[in-house]
Amino acid sequence: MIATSTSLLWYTTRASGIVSLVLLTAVMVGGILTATRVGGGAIPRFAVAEVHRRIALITMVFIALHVTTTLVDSYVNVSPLAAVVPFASQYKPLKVALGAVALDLLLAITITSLVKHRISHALWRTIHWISYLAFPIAVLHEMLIGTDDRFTWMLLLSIGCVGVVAVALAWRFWAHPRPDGALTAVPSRTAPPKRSRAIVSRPTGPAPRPRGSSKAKRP
Amino acid sequence: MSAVTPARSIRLLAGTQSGRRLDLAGHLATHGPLDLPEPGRADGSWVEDLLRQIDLAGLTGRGGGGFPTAIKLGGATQVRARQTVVVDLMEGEPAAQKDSVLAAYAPHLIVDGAEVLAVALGAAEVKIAVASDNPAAVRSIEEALAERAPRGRRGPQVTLVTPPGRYVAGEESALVAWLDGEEARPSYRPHKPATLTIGRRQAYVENAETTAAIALIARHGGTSVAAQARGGRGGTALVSISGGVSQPGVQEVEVGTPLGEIVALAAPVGAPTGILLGGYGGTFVGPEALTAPWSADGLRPLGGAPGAGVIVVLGPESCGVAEMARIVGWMARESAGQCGPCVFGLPALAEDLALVAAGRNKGHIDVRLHGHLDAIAGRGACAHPDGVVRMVRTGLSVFRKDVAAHLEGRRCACATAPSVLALPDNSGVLTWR
Amino acid sequence: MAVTHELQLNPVACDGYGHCAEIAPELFSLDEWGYPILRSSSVPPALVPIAQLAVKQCPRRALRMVTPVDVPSRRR
Repeated sequence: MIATSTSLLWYTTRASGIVSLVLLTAVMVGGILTATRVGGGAIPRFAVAEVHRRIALITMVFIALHVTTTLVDSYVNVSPLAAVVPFASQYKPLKVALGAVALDLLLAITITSLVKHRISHALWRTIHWISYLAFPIAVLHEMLIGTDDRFTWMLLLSIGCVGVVAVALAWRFWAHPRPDGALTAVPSRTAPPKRSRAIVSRPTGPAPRPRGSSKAKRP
Repeated sequence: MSAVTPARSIRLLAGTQSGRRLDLAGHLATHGPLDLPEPGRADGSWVEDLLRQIDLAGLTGRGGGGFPTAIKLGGATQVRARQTVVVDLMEGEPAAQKDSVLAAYAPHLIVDGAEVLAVALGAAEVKIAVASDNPAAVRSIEEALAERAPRGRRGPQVTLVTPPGRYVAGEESALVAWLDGEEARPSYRPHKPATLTIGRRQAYVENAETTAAIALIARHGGTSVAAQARGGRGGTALVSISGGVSQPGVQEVEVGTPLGEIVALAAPVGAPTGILLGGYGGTFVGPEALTAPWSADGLRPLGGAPGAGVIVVLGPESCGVAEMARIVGWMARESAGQCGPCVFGLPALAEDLALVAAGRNKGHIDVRLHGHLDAIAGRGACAHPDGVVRMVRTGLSVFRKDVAAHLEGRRCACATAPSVLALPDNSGVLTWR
Repeated sequence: MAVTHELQLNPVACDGYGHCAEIAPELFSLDEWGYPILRSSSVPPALVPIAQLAVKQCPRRALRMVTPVDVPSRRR
């Protein structure tokens, strides 16, 4: 039977949570590097994209571990429902809810990415942008629920993760100012054109020369 | 073929001399009545006869493609889906004014032609698309439709729509995309002719002048219309002449008329040094082409085509290289912005030509220029970049002496002369909806 | 009869990521702006696997591999 309350479970929850956060930071940075087409020399761009995808999957594994150990642990009362439904938890409802929301969003991103070729690109992309919402919610979940934030190193780690993503995001938009961070520019156009369209001249009817004439008109 | 003297003048611009706009009464007085079967009641033999007449007339598309209309319409009559007729009066080409002139002075001929198409295809709807920045044409079509409304005929529903006036917005797939609620940008169609749809209906897109010609054919028969040409085939066509000429404008000419005769109608300033046919994405021909007849067969050996009837004349007061540079710059700003080779390639090409025009041969500009020409063509979703490349390649050939002089640093005196081209300002932010 | 595979590149969807040219340099090269140039649209059988990989990895799904109907060999 599962040992329902051991320090091991509790430490695993906390540790896997911290690892998930660090990995999630790496995923966010990887996504930004993919979108900004970094790479090409020693590390080809498709490799950057592939690494981003793989770290993302590994992150989900650690999140799964984090959630499972929390649910199984009887030290805290979090029902399986509460893992995905906000405020369904008895234990620290708001703080767990944040985790649930983050999990929901990340699940949406993961699932749409796994079936990327079967859904429209626009849909995949819209859901993918939600990652910028999921990340701060995950950080907030970690910082508020933090049973470890009496440790300075934990606080520094949290701030560090947020800082790294913030810098990467700023770099994406300031260094590559295009809506999706792409290097390929499509100037946006909004106002109606101002050109006037005057009729150049009135029609002069049929060709003025009767057929059969061979006299050329000199300019 | 003996000269035909019809009771009525078989001309697209008949009755519009001295700038007279034909209202419905004037239109019927000039062209006579048009008896059409009720939509849905056109039997197979009527449609077959119409197709035969169009074939006899030798009508080809006047929007630029030059495709035989009888074949295009014939194919469309085989389609089982419901169709909508779209009359393309967008005329995004600034050097082209013929459709606008037709709309402003003989709008009823266009609407007649649209109704003929609707009956032939069993279409319940017709949309006439006029660019929103063309108020004269918009007004004229509006008035014409208002005049026809109370006639009580149970014809197809004809509506005027006004998409944004962008160069590529008149391209088939762009226009249909706009009608379907999207932006007026061309789409990627690997297997043309793919079907274009608006909602659940298939779209049949036809140029305004072609549509008007169909109205003439429906009235007078293909043989009479064809006989108006100088070779007895093709009838008359509208051309827009501009550039280094003192009387720019739209002329109706007999197909088969020598190009020089047509150019002379506009009173060019000095002997032409190069003529751009078809539009800003068309083909340059040299003065030796002035003897060629204005027809697909006549212009093909020169690499040209009547296309949308655009004739831009460059004379001794213009620098061909400088004008080409201006055209490419303008065309670059008209890109739909969807494909990298066009978005980046056209401005690069414009820059190359500007350097050549300025007489600055830095870093093997000619090599770069040709490299860009090779890199751009055929790599976009539509023919916009291809047209520009074709225009530049033919222009470089026609003006080769000037180009050589420029590359040696001896640019011509007229390189900085003001442009004779119609290039409306498109440098600001513009809309696609 | 050999089945020929054909690569189609949708230039509207393509956004110049360049992954295809990295994965299959035998099939793609990049122009000076980072956009792919298809060397030739037909893919030799030996290169079909990497062509398929390039199609799968394109971030914008701008590549498609089509197999035109092959000449029937009546081999049943």
